[in-house]
Amino acid sequence: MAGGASGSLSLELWKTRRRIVSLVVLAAVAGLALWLAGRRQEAALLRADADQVAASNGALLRSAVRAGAGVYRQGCASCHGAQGRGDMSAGVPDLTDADWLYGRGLAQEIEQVAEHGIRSHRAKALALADMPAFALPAPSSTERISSLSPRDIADVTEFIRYLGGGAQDMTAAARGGLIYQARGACFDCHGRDGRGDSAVGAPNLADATWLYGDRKRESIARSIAEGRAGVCPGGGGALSATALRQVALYIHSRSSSRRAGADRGS
Amino acid sequence: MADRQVPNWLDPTQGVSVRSLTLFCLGAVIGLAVAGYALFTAKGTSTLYVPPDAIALVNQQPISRSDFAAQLRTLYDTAPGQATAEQRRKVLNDLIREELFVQRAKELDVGAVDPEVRQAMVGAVEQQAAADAITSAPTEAKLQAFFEAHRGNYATEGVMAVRDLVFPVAAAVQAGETAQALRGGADVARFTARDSRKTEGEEFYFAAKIHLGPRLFEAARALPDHGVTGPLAEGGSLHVLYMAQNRRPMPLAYAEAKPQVLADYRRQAIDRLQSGNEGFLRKRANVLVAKDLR
Repeated sequence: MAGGASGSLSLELWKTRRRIVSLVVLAAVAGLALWLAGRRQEAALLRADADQVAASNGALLRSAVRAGAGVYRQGCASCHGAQGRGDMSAGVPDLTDADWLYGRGLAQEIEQVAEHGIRSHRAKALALADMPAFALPAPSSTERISSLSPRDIADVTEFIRYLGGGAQDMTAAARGGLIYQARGACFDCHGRDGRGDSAVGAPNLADATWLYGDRKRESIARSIAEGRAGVCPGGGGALSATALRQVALYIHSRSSSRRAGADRGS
Repeated sequence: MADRQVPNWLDPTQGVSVRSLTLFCLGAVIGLAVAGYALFTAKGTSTLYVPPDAIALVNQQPISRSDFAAQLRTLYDTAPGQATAEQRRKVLNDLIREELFVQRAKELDVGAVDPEVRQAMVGAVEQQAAADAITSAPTEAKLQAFFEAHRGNYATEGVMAVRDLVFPVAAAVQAGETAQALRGGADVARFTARDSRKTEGEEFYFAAKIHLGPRLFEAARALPDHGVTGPLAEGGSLHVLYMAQNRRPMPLAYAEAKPQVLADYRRQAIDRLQSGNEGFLRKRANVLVAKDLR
């Protein structure tokens, strides 16, 4: 009979068990260490200035961008698309270009939108202005603005095309300019020069980036006639502070990379 | 060769107090670690540790870093990393002060007496329900189904260019002759002197309705291009309407109407959720109404 005392294990069996137990303990310790490192990294990410992290290109940014891609897929891709290029037919902005409706595209600003949303009915959502629907009897629910006639709308459309360098009827554009600067109160949000105001989410009308449709007369006229008030839900509450920062850095990195590419190209 | 003996305290088949004690201690340490973690990270737990997503705890109520950053940007247009120590201190103090006053307001039950606070609280709860309604994006299929179910709502606004020629009641014959002449192809410019000028050029239907009044508008809406009404008595005068152009509302295709469909879908979802929310609150509440008002 192998072994001496009854009920005792052989040395080989004991060694095997010891190896298994050691491996389990080692795995548990490694898991705990990884978890702790992850928590430390999350804490470092949250305590850092989002835009300094975005500019750093360090390990913190890389891991945040990796994790942010997953958050983006789950929370943002259904509207903005898997590649983040938006949907012009529904006024969903392209997140990969360098044009930002709100703010200057800083990571902190993106994080604010990710957390509170735009016109999301959250208390801290960005909802400072809506584009009035000038073909309705009461174009705005908050401002006293008078309706425009179909000809007025056509004239303002021509003026907006003039701002971007594409007007064909300069007389109509001149009439439209008067409406833009006075009766229509368009200047109030879009500015006298039509370059918009990112503080209130008023798009630049003089550049080549269009949120709804393209620069065609029909789509511009429809925006004036029907008004616009795009909505972006906020993720605060449903997403952790870490996830919000990660997705903000991911979106920022997508936009920045394109800008960098464009700079290199030029 | 006989196997070497395993020490008794490592042999699980042997009841050895050292091993039992070791495993017991290990279990106790792990248990304490888990419990401690849960205790110090649970919401509402009193702790001396400021979580990484907060800049301060005021009576255990966190002030979030994102609020801090947003306030810095609003006041100084700067980020936390670039703000001066003075700016950071100012914003931090402002946020702590606000939190202290909010907590004091809760203690004083300000919501029970101040109508503005009550109104704000009602609004906030309604907004919360609305925010929940728009959190999930509807699928394309849902939007299309909504569009099909409400197709009548999606059409271009009608546009008309109508001239309103006015005659005294005593000039009924002249009004009739004018209508006849217009039907015969006479140029409407010949009758400019009779034009009420209530309408000018192309107008949306709603504007024409406001300018002409409901009755004349209904008569005008039925006219085809170059159509003419007979003399219509309205407001102590006779009116002959000449329709230069009538572009009736045209149904929109789904692709054209999509932004509006999405907005309407969300509005309906918000209404549904807000009404459900109110129903739930009423259901769970114990509301006693005075006898004379039952």
